Amino acid sequence: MEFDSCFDIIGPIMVGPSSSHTAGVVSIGKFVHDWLGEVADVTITFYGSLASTYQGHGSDKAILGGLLGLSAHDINVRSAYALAKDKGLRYDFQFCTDIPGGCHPNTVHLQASSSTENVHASGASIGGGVAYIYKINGHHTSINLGTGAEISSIAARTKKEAPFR
Amino acid sequence: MKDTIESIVQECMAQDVSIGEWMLRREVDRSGSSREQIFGRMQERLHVMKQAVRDGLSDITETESRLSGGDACRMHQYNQNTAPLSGPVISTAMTAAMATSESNAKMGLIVATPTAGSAGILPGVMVSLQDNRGVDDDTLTMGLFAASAIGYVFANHAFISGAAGGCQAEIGSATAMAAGTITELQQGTPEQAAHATAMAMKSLLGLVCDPVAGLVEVPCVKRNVIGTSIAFSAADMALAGITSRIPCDEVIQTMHTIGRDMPGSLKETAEGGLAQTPTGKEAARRLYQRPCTL
Repeated sequence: MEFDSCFDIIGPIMVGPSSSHTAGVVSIGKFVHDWLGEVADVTITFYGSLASTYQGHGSDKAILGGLLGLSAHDINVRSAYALAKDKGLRYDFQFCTDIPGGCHPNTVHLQASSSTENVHASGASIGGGVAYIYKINGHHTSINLGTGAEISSIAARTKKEAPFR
Repeated sequence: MKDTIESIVQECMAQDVSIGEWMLRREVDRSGSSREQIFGRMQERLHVMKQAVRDGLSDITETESRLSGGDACRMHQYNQNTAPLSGPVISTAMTAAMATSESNAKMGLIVATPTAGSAGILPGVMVSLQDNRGVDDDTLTMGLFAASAIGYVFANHAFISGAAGGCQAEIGSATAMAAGTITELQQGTPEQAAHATAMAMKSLLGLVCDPVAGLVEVPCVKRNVIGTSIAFSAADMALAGITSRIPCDEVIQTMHTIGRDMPGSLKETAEGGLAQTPTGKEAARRLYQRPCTL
């Protein structure tokens, strides 16, 4: 069953306004943050529904917040632009209202680097705060970032697995 | 075998427990966490809900889109200065639901119940029962377990997102969860809670998801508000001994069938309904003047 816990129904605790366009998007950004340790530079590409409605849903603040290491329930997501400036995070947004073939309407692609390494990751926020990472550095994968997921341990574990080692 | 409302009601009656208690015990069994830990996690959610209501009431600003904001405060003033036609229980719930949904639209901290778009209804009902009937936090927390049991059946047998099943799946599920929860918190039997759930859901079958500019504001905020009054009406009927002539599980199945048949233009795509009114289209045009950069 997709929904099993009482907290799948009463939860997540999250910054509004949308579980799919805000909460799930934070998780995708946080996965890349936790993969790199710290993000210095990033190009963010929003596709489909995220490209057309990101502003009203705060998806831009959500992805930056995640890339700065914030969680979906952290109210500081709202101040992500100011935080990015404080921390010297260099970012560039790209928008494409078309949806890449076979992809979910809420897809985001991240090209990020720390001072020592790079990562290219693609994710989709599928609703209810649940997100997936489906491609890392050109390799297809399927990593569930559920509402109760410990993203830092998932990122650390995935990094040790083939073909990402 | 998926749990149904019927199977849960039968188990509650056999074990002489409430629906909330049934769900709490189920979570203990499935998670391996202690009863105290799980109860604490749920109570934390109640506290976030109450804070979201306070945040929403103290913030009279409009959203970035200027499509919502400030109405919870208007409603609150009206309640203070007059005797609202809906009476204190419903008018308090309406105000608290509006405060939560407005807070959600402004990136405030909320609890998805079951989604962010329908996050106002349960907190509205909870706050009103506390303010007007003196229901304490521990009892309300048990109410949230009851709500989650009902929502869990909806989520697994139908849908809880507007994109999947239209607004009936979001506001409908949330209102039905609230109706059953109110009934249980007012000492109704599990069977009565099931009837309240069914009656609330029946009144919202077929509701489409047609958000203006794709944002969780119009008509979402006010649907949360009105959801609370439907929930109280359904609960009052059930507590009066009135039954739903169609059993709850058949109503949930019907919601699923209707949602499946609903055209995509009416499922959170902003391609139909209120989103496509002249005013709705103008709001979207004002917001989104961004060419594709790729």
